[in-house]
Amino acid sequence: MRALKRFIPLVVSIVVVVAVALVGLLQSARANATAQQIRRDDRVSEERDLASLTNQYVMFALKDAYDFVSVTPLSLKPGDLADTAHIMAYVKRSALLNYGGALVSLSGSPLNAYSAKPGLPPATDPGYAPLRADLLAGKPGISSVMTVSSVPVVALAVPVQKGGETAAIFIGYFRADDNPLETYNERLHYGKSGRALLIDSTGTLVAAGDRTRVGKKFDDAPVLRALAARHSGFIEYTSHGTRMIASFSEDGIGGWASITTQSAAEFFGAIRSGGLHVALALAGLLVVAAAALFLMNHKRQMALARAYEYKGQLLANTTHELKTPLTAIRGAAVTLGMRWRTMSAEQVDQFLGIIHRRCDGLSKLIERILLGARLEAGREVALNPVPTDVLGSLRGITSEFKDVSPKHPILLAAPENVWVDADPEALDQIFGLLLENAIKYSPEGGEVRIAAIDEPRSVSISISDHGVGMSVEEREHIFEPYFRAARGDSSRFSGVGLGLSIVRHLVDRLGGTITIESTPGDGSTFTITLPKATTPMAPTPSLEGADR
Amino acid sequence: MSERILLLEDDDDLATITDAVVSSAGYDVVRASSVNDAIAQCESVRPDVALVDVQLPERSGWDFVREATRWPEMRIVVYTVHQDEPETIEQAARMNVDAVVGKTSDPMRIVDVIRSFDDGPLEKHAKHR
Repeated sequence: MRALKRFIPLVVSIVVVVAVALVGLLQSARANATAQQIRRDDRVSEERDLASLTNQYVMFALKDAYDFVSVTPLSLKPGDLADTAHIMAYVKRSALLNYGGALVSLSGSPLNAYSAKPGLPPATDPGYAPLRADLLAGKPGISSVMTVSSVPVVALAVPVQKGGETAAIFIGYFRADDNPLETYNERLHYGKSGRALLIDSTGTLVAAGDRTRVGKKFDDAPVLRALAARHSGFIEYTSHGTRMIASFSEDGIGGWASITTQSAAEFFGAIRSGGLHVALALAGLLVVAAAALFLMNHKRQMALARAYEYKGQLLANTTHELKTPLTAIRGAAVTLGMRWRTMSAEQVDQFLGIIHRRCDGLSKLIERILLGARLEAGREVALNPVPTDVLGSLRGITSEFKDVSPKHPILLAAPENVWVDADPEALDQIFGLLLENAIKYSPEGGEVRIAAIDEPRSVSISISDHGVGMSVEEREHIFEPYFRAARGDSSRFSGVGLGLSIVRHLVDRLGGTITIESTPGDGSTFTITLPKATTPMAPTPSLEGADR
Repeated sequence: MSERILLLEDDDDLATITDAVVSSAGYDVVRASSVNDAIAQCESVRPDVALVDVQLPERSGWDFVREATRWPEMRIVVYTVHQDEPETIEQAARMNVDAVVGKTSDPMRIVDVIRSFDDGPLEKHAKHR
């Protein structure tokens, strides 16, 4: 359960990042979809305009034919040369129906005709079918594309009136591949892949933007299907493996329709790829954020794991430090309880001495742990600074240690009458802890030197040992609480690892500084510099200038 | 009959107490405060039983146990404040220690354990706590 809980911040962070990214993606997708829709609608609207232009073009052509038949005195006699000349003159001057012209009787038999080479499509050409249907419905007729010796031709038919009655049909022809409609379509540019097309009711290209395609079938079946289903619109489809778009609109004449095709990638261009880039950017951001969160969390977990390990080690050290004196006290007390009658007076004294001394030590240790905990929690300790004699404090501590650690020679050299403004107990504690530290890390019999130097405004007290020393890295961390636990040397040296952190804190509080010089294997020197007391004190009588 | 007891203990007070208790039970106690010291004692006085504290400065008591295989007839009693920790018990079993005795238990317990070695054939791995 705890393992799961550890991942809650990570999971929450990832969920937040994913949610933000999703909102961003959704917004981007929505904006993108809107932009795409606008572009589609624009294209369809444009297609309708093109369809309407085609419609007008055909209407103009029909009007041109109407004008011709209504003002020209045609005899309508089969083979009449005058009529032929009229038709030829019309075809040559017409900008629209400039391929050919023919007069046909109401029964469908040819009366007269003129055309450019290679001639007109025969009356049997199925392309005339829609034209006939239109005429029967009383409308001007429009054919499908017909091919005469590979020339695509379109025919438009209007009735010829005589005496208020329809007397014949005039059919005007234009080349689908060479006329203003095709030229116009060729000039319409839609990127590199865009094509403006015009198809008749059979799906044959009337205009193609590329005149070589005119007269051929438009074979994009999805577009033809869409066109069969509605008058105008837009579809996206695949043609020969390429994603395409097509806008389409019926022209409202002859069953013709205008179509514009283009590759979808080109049509949507930046809109769609922009959306893709936004999605990619967001996905990238998401991955980076998730990775960063994971790393941060991992780092935190590692730090926590180290802290746990450290705490466990610390607890083990502390327990050991507490157990040892308790064991001695208990052992001495139990032994005394059982055997005091048979023990010599010296032995009884010795055992009582053990109990007494170890109780003192235990009590000091507990005080130190509490002080360390207090300092670590950032709580101040109350200090009562008064002018204190440095030498006096050093002498007291030195003699105390000489009793406790007789195996270590302690050499003290300090000038008399040097006073600092300090809490005497704090000063004793600083010296005591440093001396204890020096002894602890010294080999048996290792000498410890204490030297004080009187300077104009301050006093420096250095405590040197010939012990194990420490590396540069250790020096950087040595004042951190419980650093020894982290260093993992607790089995070699007893203690809970609070002494030096307490020393530094107290020195700071007294307005002093502490420095270390150390070489691994060659001992350490801790030097404390404290400001001298502002109120000079009367010299204290002293019997000795320096102890040993 | 176990007669000479080596006491490897760096804490002077604990050594004094254990020494007093074991001596008063009629055993001859020799003290050592480091592994090197204890090895030197083994070489010179050949103790019958070694009471070994584990947590020592410099070399650990387990180092001594390892070296003590040179004197196979010597019984090894690990004497520690960590007697209840699984690591201690596992290590003791692995190293063929004769007994593990808690320092926090009654000091007379150590005498009982030493006496038990005289009672019969050696039973390795017996735990006395």
